[in-house]
Amino acid sequence: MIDASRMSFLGPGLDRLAAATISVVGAGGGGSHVVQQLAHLGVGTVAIIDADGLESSNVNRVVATHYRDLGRPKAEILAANLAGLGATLVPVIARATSAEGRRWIERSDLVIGAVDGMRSRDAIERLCRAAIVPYLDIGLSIVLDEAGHVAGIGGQVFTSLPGGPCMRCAEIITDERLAADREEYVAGAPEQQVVSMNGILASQAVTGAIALLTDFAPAFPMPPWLQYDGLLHELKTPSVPLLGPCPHHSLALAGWLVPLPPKRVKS
Amino acid sequence: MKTVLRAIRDRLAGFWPARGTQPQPTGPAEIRLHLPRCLRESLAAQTVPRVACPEPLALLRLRYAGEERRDVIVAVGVLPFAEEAYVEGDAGANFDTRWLIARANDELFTNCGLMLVHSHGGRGTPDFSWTDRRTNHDVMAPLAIGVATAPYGAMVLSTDGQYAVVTTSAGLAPATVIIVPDATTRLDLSA
Ligand SMILES: [Zn+2]
Repeated sequence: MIDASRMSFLGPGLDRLAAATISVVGAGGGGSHVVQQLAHLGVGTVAIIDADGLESSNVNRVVATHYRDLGRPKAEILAANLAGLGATLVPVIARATSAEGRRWIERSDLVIGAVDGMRSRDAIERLCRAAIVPYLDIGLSIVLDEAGHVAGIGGQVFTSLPGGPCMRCAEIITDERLAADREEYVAGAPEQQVVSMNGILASQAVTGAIALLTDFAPAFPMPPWLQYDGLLHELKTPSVPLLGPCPHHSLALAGWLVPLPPKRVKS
Repeated sequence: MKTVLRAIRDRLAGFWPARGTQPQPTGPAEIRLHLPRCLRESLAAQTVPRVACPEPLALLRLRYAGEERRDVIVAVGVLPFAEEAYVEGDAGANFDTRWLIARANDELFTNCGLMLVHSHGGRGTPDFSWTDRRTNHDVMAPLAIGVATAPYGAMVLSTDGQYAVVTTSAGLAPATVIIVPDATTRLDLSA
């Protein structure tokens, strides 16, 4: 038997991966790549949180799924099809904000989100900040011009750490976007061929997760925000760096804060 | 050949279930304490032995992670132990319990409980001394009486490890301390 830890560049960090619990929210185009990689890495427990079933239009971008799986919950399909690689995969067929979803998120060492829509993103980041759990978010969008040609392919890998800048600091989440809650993919054309681009973002997020959990290169922390430009074939840090501290999620206000009645004042 | 292998694998699967989709074991869950790295460093700095006080103390501010949860606790700040709170005595650190109770009462207004922290130095996972256990039982555990909204506890540090207990409905219980990576260099620690 070969001792894997002696061969690994992660050294003792390999044990930390094997002991870790990571929740992946969203088992779609991005999340399926993430789950697949975490399974191959032998992460201890991976909770796959997704309430939806597999549709035929998903199969072109949700890795480790087949047409024979149509109709079954995506979380269950990934857990079954990626079993036996070394991770314990737990399908959580529920929304992230459900009691079951929150339970897993709050008990995780790290959460990776690959969800459509800004409200979900915002909700997951809030849950993670409250429970003091690092959160990595990936997202991809394609913009078509009036003639139907690709005008832009954009995305992000955002690392939201306790005390650090959040997605509101980066203006990925804004009140306008929350109100509109626009879908990530092109409206009316969900069957996009985005498996390769999702793979880039998912791979970078998983690399960031390994770095956070194992500290394999502490001198080179992953920037909190990486922007993806699919037309320029670039994954880069924004030209204007994010400066902290985050005014939206104070560490001192994390956890369960009961609203207290106003203090009684003696007259 | 492949068919034979698959048949063997399928047969074995009955005796030896593959790691995969089994639900998590139920029962009382391990209690997790999420401690941001910056606060761990602050605790280390405040508990360095001094000539006047071989085992200086610090207080960690704690909250439950969520309303329905008692098995995930988050550390949200560090309170320095006031010089005037130390008193004469024969233990590594002797303190005025009235001062501690007053701090605990103040913290209730922000829904925080307190964890009493000190260091034994050395390396590896430390453990409480007999005196520490008595303090935990006689001073820290009673702080939780009548308080359903905040956890209390005690932690002992080494240079590279820590061991903690927290109050539960069944008395003090060990908590697994998770040192959480944070944006240390950019943190504003003012409560
Ligand atoms: Zn912010």
